[in-house]
Amino acid sequence: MDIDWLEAEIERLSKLPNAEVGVPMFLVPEDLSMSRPPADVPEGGTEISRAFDEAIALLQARRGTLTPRDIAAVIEVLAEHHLLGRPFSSIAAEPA
Amino acid sequence: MIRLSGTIAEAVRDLSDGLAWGNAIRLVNYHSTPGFRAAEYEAQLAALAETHDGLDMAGMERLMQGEVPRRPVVVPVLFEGFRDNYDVILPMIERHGFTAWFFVPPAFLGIPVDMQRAFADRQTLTYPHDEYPGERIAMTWEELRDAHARGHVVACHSRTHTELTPETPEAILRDEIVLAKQEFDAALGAPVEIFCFLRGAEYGLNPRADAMLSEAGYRYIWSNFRVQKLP
Repeated sequence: MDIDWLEAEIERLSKLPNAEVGVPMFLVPEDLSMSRPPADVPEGGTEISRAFDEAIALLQARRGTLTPRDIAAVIEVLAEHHLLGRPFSSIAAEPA
Repeated sequence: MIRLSGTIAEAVRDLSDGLAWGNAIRLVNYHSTPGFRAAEYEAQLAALAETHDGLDMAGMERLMQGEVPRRPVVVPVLFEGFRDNYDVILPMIERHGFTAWFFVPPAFLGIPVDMQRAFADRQTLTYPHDEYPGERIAMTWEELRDAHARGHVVACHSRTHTELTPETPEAILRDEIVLAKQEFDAALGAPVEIFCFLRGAEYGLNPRADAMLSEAGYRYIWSNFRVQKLP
């Protein structure tokens, strides 16, 4: 992953009309009821978790301090590119 | 503005761990779904259906317990209770075998038709102004009941689409959380179990609201980064 690509994607996605287009995201389940013991994190993670770690490290190196909005933007970029085999927003450009 | 209950570093670590477990919920957030974008929604849902299954409440509980689904699951989330969610995208969601998750401020559904646009403008419910000229822009309770009866999930997005902060007066908190749930439960004939704050706040930011959510009978908070099962 390239930091310039990541920043360009964050900028591109921020300009989409989110009030009327689909915006992919990831949410992490969290059980605060403590009804089960916390699971061990699998060694090596998943493709998405590795991409998340890499993107966060790149953005932190570029910007210094991150904000919650930066984290959301990283997840938006990952979801945009990982839900399907092509950018989710590109589907809008396909002929009906 | 997105607020977190802990530090940035804690949020990054939790998200990294959560994504590493492989049971993260994939979702596509929609708000207004106007008819002029119907072909786009249809193409998106058709593409998702090739590689994803839908998710219902029971499935979310299994994810919460750590289950990793055989195929990825995806949740089409429909925010705000707009009429075009029911008219335009819901039939497509059903055709492709997904469960829709409606996140609705219930007061919007009860606003008289000639006041719905003013309400939407005041409460930051963004919609295309040239859609349904002279007609209602909100779903009706009958439509929401029908969607719920067909297996789609309904969640509370505060009563009036109002941001709730630690400084919000008690009476307003009660209206936005408790009264909203009472309205949903009476109208649907079943308990609404998920609450989503405006701006996607998570558990721990607003202790009075958190306590009220549990007391009212909600079981989950749907926030910007997490779905949290309440203690």
